[in-house]
Amino acid sequence: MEIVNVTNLIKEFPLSRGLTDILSRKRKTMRVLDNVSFSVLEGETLGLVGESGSGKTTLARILLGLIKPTSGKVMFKGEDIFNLRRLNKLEVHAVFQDPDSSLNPMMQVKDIIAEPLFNTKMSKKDVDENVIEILSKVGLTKEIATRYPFELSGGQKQRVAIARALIKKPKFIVLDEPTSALDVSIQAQLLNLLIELQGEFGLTYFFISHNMNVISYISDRIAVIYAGQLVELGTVDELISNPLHPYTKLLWACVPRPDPETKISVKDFGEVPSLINPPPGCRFHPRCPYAMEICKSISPTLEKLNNIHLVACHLFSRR
Amino acid sequence: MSSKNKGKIKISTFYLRIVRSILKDPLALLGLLIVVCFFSISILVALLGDYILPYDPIKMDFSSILVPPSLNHLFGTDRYGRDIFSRILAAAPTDAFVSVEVIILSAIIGIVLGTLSGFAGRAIDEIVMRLTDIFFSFPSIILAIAIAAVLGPGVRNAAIAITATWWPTYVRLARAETLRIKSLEFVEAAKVSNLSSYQIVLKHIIPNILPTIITYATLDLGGVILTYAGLSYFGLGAQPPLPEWGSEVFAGQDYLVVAPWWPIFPGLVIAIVSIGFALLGDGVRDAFSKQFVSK
Amino acid sequence: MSVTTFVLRRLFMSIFVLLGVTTLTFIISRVVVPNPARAWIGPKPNPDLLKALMKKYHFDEPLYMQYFYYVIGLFTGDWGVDPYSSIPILTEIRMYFPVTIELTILSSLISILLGIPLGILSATHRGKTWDNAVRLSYLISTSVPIFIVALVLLLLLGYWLKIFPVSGQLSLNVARPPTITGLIMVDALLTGNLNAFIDNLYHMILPSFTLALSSFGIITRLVRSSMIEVLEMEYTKTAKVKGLNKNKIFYKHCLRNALIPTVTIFALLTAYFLGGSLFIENIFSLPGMGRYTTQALLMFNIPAVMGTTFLFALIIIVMNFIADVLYALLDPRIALE
Repeated sequence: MEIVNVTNLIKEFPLSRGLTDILSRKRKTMRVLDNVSFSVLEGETLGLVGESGSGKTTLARILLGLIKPTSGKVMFKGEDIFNLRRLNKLEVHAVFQDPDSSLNPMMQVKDIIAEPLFNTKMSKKDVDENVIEILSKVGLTKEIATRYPFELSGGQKQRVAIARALIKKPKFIVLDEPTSALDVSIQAQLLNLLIELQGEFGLTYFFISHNMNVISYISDRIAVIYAGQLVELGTVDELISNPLHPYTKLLWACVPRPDPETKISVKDFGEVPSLINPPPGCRFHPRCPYAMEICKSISPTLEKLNNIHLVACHLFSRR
Repeated sequence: MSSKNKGKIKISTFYLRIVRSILKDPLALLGLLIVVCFFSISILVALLGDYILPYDPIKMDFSSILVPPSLNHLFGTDRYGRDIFSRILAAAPTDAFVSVEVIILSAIIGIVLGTLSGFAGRAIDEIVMRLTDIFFSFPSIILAIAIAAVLGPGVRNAAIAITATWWPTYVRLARAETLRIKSLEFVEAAKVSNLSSYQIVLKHIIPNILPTIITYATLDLGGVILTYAGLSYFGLGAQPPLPEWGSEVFAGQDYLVVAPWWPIFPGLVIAIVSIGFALLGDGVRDAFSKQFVSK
Repeated sequence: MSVTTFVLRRLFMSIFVLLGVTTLTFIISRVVVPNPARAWIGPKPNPDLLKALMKKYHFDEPLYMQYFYYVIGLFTGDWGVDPYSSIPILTEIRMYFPVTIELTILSSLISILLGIPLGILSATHRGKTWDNAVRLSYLISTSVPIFIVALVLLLLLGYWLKIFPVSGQLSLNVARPPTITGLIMVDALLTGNLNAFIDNLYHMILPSFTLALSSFGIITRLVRSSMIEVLEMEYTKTAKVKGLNKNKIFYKHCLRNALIPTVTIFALLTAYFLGGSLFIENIFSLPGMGRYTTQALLMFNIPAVMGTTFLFALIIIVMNFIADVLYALLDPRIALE
């Protein structure tokens, strides 16, 4: 069953204009998300992978109701989140990337965690009990409740952020690169904790990362975003065994391997194009080794190959 | 049980490092010494008044007119035979009081308008910013003098007049800090947690901008004292026969050649206090930037 | 954003701020003297005369109409009348303004000559004795009240050492050149009266030096920090690596880029000079705007005080606008932001 349904999402940010533009009433915008559609199934983890600047965080902010899209719809359990955002928000929460910036340095851990309960009519005693309970769920001791963020390690901080996201028993959690600021060993601990909690609370995750290893470890399905467009979407196994889009192949090729000799980076194959003046046609064609004439003029749409695999590439287009 | 203490440890380690850095800087230390002396003397004089002043600062004594500085009269006497040293000491509490009053009022206005400006959307931001522009367009001493003159002379009105020219800086400061804090992820998290803008400002923004504003405000006291000296020079502070540093200089400047001690000593006291604040401020700014670099 | 857009936007903002300034001066002056006509005419007014005066100056109309006439007046040269001398404020300002212009220009020159070299010295000797000495000097410069500096210099150089005259614009035995621009030095040059030029300059040096002494710190501080910034920039280091002559690097690359930001502080500096003129012109008995303002203040001559306050704000707004435009032209990056 779908819990979140995103259709034809477009997000444009206005750019400052020169005098001639104002006089000619020309609007200059930067299209950060271009016609993005997908759905998240209840209980799954949908991974979103892409380079920085590809629109991942903007998508997360829209799903959380923090910014409004230019057009398109975001439905949560069948209701538009921008109509009923106050009500529905109660079932959505988030874990952000940087634990140093996501915890208020002037607040104690117990107050940080209890924040989602702030506007409920729960008694102080119940709030405290909830905090103690959730602390143990995320693997932290009671003593941490009265500490300040600066007294915690990076992993502990991120556990606090997870506790805050969970305390009100939401259904859907947006995780925006929650482990990218941490050491590899702690990353693994945290990913396992997230998987554990998902089973225990019946959570649905929308997990954003630029790290292919992380994303394939935690996700059930993966969506690949490039320059504001979804280029491929499918189950983890399908995308590992049978990646179709040249960009997905590039991402796999660049996954760090134990052998340092073959270390290559996505950046070696050019940069994400400017979103102010994106290339015409397929946005990936300037970097694509298989680019054809058609790619320079016509933008491919995300097409269903089979039940578990969608791709936006002229190489696989049936038309 | 230890929650309160933990908070104190955090604040104190930060300030402790600043203090340690100041203790190593001789000029900043001198500034600190001057500032501490100024406030201690002000408090002592305000509490004990006539008991500790060597002479009555107001009573005239025509047997000792324009006496040059000596052990009896440290800074000499004025043309009414009043001891200038006693008059300078007697005027200190007014300066301390006015500077603290102006700074607190300005900081409150700054925090209210600055957070509003940084948080309430473009239209309000634009209005508040242009309002500060208007006040920044006047040479501040001239606007303060004009307002004080219009309200009528007196300590209270002088404080109001200085506040009227002082608040815009604090609005800018609070706004800039608000914009910085606003972009941090804990504010986003609070929005997701269903907190209203008002709650976010109270719980997240204000506690995080306060340390910067308090630090700036403390060092800004010297600026107010300097401006207040300018106002009282033109007779817009406490009224005669009450003593006032600036008005002492004004009254004495006609006797510059005959009795230079009359205008010069009160002037030097203003200069020393003002330099004290400047030295301390420079030291603290230095310590702060070192803190940020070492991070 | 193009430079034209930037300039037009700044112009629009300046006009808005100027209107705000008029509102503020209007409010302040009308709060004190709700009916100026009554104040001017004395304690026992002739009712007909009062009525005529009120009509003439629109005091019988609602406040917003009074504001309208006030703004129109400000922009058409009717700044009200001095109630004591019955001379229009603007005419009086014209009499007093030239001295302040002379003072401001001389002070600017002295503080540039003092401020820029000290700033460079400080930046190139960062952390060393010279740097500390300069920093201490500008701290003292900006924190000692200007009237103290004036009195001490007057006592030392004027009365005790008798190097400079202690008051006035000209010596008693020097005739004032005929008024053409009002600026004595310019008039003296125009009429070929070198004697008067030198004598006036001689009289203006001490007041200008005092004013410069308590404001050069602003320039020094800015030059120091922007110089340090430029010295630490990559291309300066690159230029060194390329083996360019050290002096050449210094003058061609650093100095030019370091001095651009100083353009922006001239409005601030002017504000300092105008504020300082209040004290300086009183202490050195110079018949300028500062003295006019303080005299008006002591006599509770509100129309004159508000007239000069408005003029000072107008000057600073114009200066700010010019500085912004100059800066945008010198360093186009700023306009792009």
